Amino acid sequence: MQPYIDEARKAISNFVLQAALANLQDRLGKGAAAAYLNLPEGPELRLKAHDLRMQAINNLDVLLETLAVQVEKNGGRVIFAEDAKAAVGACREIARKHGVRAVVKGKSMVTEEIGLNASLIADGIEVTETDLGEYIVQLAAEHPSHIIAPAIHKTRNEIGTLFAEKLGIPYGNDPPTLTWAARKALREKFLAADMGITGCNLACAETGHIAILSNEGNIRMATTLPSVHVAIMGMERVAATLEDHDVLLRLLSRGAAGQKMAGYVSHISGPRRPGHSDGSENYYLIILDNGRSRILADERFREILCCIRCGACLNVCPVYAKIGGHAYGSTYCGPVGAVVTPLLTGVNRSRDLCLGETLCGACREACPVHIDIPRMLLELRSMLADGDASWQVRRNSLLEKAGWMIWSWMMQDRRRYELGARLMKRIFP
Amino acid sequence: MNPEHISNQSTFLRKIRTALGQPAANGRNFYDLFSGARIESSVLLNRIKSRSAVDRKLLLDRLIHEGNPLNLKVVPVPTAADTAQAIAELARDRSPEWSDARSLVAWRHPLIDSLNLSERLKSQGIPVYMPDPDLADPGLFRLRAQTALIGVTSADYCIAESASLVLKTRPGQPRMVSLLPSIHVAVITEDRMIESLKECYALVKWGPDAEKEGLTCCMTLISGPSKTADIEAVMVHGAHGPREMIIYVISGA
Repeated sequence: MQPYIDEARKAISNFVLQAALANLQDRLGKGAAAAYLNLPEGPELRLKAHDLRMQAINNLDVLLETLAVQVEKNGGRVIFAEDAKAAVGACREIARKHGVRAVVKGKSMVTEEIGLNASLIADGIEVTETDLGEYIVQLAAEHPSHIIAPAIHKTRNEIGTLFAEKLGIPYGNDPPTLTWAARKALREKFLAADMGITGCNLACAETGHIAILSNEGNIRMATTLPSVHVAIMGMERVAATLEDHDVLLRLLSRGAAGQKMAGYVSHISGPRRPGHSDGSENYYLIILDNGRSRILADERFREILCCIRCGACLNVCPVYAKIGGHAYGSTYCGPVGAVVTPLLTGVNRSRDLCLGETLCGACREACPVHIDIPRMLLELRSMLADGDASWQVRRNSLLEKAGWMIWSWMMQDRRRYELGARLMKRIFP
Repeated sequence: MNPEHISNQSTFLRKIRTALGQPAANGRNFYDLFSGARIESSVLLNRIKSRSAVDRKLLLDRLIHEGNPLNLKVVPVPTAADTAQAIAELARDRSPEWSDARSLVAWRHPLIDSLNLSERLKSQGIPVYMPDPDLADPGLFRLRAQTALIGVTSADYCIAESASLVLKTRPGQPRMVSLLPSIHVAVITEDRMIESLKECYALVKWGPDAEKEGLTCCMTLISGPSKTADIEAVMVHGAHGPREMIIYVISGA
């Protein structure tokens, strides 16, 4: 996959990006490690969280069924979408039904995964990303390069030039001034929008609510002001109970940004009730499969569905630190992307992603739910070495495999080994 | 629910069951699988109920300490009158952002009502708007909220360990009051203090009002003013929501 190598090379020779990535890891990577230590239960809470997540994933059918019942009881509508096309179709249908003209979006990886924006725009709907980083990336017609810091690859000077051009403000490069210019521009979008689209950090089966986290307040805006709210979640993002939420939200905030709790956490359990003057009047929850059930079916990879997309693994990964997010060439980058992307989009197609990681184990140590990413990277490599019919994986190189087979055959017998050694001496004297 | 919708759901769930190697629910029931926390929660509820004034003072100290790095100001005040005085001074000293004139929006809430803000601010010529109880003109209140300098709310709980306010949504207590104005002021009494998110969820799930109300359609945790670090990792307050936040804790002493 040449793009991986090309993009990686580009990133490595970009000194500004290198400095930004180093700074990011220094701040967020170390911040998360320190934040785990201040947990009242200690950093071992991550092991408990891993168990909670695995138990949820192992009973996903029961949880999703309960979730759907609760959401509908609270007055929301639940849509099960088996793939990107179904999810995008449902979203367009909802927009059409309510005569939507302008959408404000909260940051959501899953909407990137299904390519939602382009379809809505094609329907003549104005779609505005409202997380500041996402907004910058959207204005520049680029893609996010980090799960929680999407515009980490852009400098203040670039953003100053971009805002001068797109927002018609005088050029400046001071972060507060630029942030407040976006605050003003986006406020108009929030006030005019008739639909808010958000992701979902974690749903709760027993209550039927979804928890959505932000620091900027854009998610609160998008769920409070427009009359329609559509939330889209990967089907694995559900926990059983509020007790589980307590553990997972504290770990998510720590893993993502070293915070004890994200600045804003909205627990949305349905549309507004009689007598309320804000909040959506129509609330839809779209639950997406899009290849996840295939991962669920394979015991080797089921564990990756525990991921709560905090980005902690990006903030410690020595490979991500050098090549940045764009080289991964997909919505999900970093160590988690190196596992998820091949499984969602094709192992052969995205083979460089799992081959490029170092297996150093930093991601496992940083993960708030202690997912063994290196183990799964090895599984993927083994699939590439041997081929795997269940995932339609072709063997990476027959020649390489044959070489290793001969080597292993020779190593298993002293006479064969010595014969081989003599032969090699003859060939390479 | 239309029939197509039901069939989508059952196909979707069947696929998951196949993936799990569980052709049917196999007697796995949500409440058997996941309802073990009642005993721990009742311990928590007892702890909350039996908390002494001294304990609450410690929680308040912790709140002040945790709020500090978040740029969340926590101000203990003896009485409601002192709180009203502090809010009046704040309204006088801060410059409006979304309008030329200063104005406030506030929740309809017994504690907020007891501050008599309208009366207190009349001499300064600053109006205080509250949501209309019968929602005669909801658009008008939204307009008030989006041009207001300060939004005044109370809160259901205040979590010390993470300096988080917990706000449920009820008639007369819209979410926009803590969101659209430039400054969010929350006024609580000291007995709203709890220690942890765990305690908050125990109250929401098992507490005295849980049956009646639960989470409400939106329960929000707020831990400080709106912020972003998306431009070169420089922390800036006031990304979309309030750029400043103050909690007044009435100690009653």
